[in-house]
Amino acid sequence: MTQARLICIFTSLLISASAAAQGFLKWERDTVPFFQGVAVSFDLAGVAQLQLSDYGQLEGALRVNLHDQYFPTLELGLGKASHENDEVTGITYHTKAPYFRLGCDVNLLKEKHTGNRIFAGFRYAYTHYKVDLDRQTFPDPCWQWDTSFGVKDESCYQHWAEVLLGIDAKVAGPLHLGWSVRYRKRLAHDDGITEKTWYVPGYGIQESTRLGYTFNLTIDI
Amino acid sequence: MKDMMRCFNGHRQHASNDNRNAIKRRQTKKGMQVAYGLITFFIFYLSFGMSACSSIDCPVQNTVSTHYTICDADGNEKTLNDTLWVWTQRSDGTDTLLLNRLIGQSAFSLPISYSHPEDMLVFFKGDINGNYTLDTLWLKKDDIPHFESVDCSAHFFHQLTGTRYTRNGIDSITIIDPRVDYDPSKTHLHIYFSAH
Repeated sequence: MTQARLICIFTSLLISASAAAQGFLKWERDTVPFFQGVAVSFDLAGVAQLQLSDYGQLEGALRVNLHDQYFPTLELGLGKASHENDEVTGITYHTKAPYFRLGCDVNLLKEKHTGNRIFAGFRYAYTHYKVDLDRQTFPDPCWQWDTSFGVKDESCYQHWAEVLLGIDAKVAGPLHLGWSVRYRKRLAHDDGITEKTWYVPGYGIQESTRLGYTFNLTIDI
Repeated sequence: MKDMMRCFNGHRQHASNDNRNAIKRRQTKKGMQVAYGLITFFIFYLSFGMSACSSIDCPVQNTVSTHYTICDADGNEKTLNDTLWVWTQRSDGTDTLLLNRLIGQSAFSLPISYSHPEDMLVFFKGDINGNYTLDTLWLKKDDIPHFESVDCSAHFFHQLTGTRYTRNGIDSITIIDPRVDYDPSKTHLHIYFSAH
């Protein structure tokens, strides 16, 4: 029910944004060259998340500007989770792995060459990661045998897709600031012997929410 | 006249330059406003995201146990008219009662050890005439650590791999569904008691 509501909200946002920018897919015929350069960006939200919680990611992106209208994008990151000896369950969880997302953004604004952009886009993403899971030895409640629980270097992978909506504003010179809100959907995954994992690099916590966000500092180069 | 025109054109040039500068300044100002808006939104969204991440979502049904169904010779479910007790032996050698005085039922559940390769269960059955039978069941299994989240307690799922048992009161035991997990609706084993 919640998922259906999220899909509805996201779809209506996309539709309203595209309606606001009528004809956004139409190629704007003007004298501005097709290739407008390349930009690099860094996600500050992931860094903040890494500082404020047990997990997060360091992420950068390379974005090609085609006529201020289409932006093929490659996002590369390193996701990390380090949850030590949970005070209630006693579980320790470690993972650290790279991931990538590949996709394209479309500038929805009618005036495409102002430097400010509202964009919609999609991504395909993949990560292969290893999980260390451990819990201190505890007694079996019935038989009282000492029981150890955990896996070491459990190999997992995940493919997922994202649709996103975002804003990018020119602040000064080549510097842009912007954010994006993303709806994510798992396409295929293998969570190893434990059948579930907690933090997936680049995707976040499984089953907590399907919404993700980035806050980007972008520099035109 | 020519001088006047030049002067007029000069003014126009000035005015258009001023206009362009004003537009540029307005655009920069607009950009800064948008940036401030973005930062505010980011802080709001970050705090929203952080609070969302702190929610705990563990399964309500998180008991892992084996479910037995008592069957007659034809494999149909049969109500037990006798009384059944089931014990096991703890790691320190003492006994513990797992099932006490089951009567008038056709199914029952027993706990399964977390990570011992084979569970030993003692079945003690008595009828109304005071006839008693004692049997031992050894249940062999593979133990699979099951993880939900760091917020949920550790559990094991199991794959039943074999049974061996004495045949005083028990005729036979068959594994129906070898996977033991959270699902309480499954029947894992059929147990056939000997007819008196």
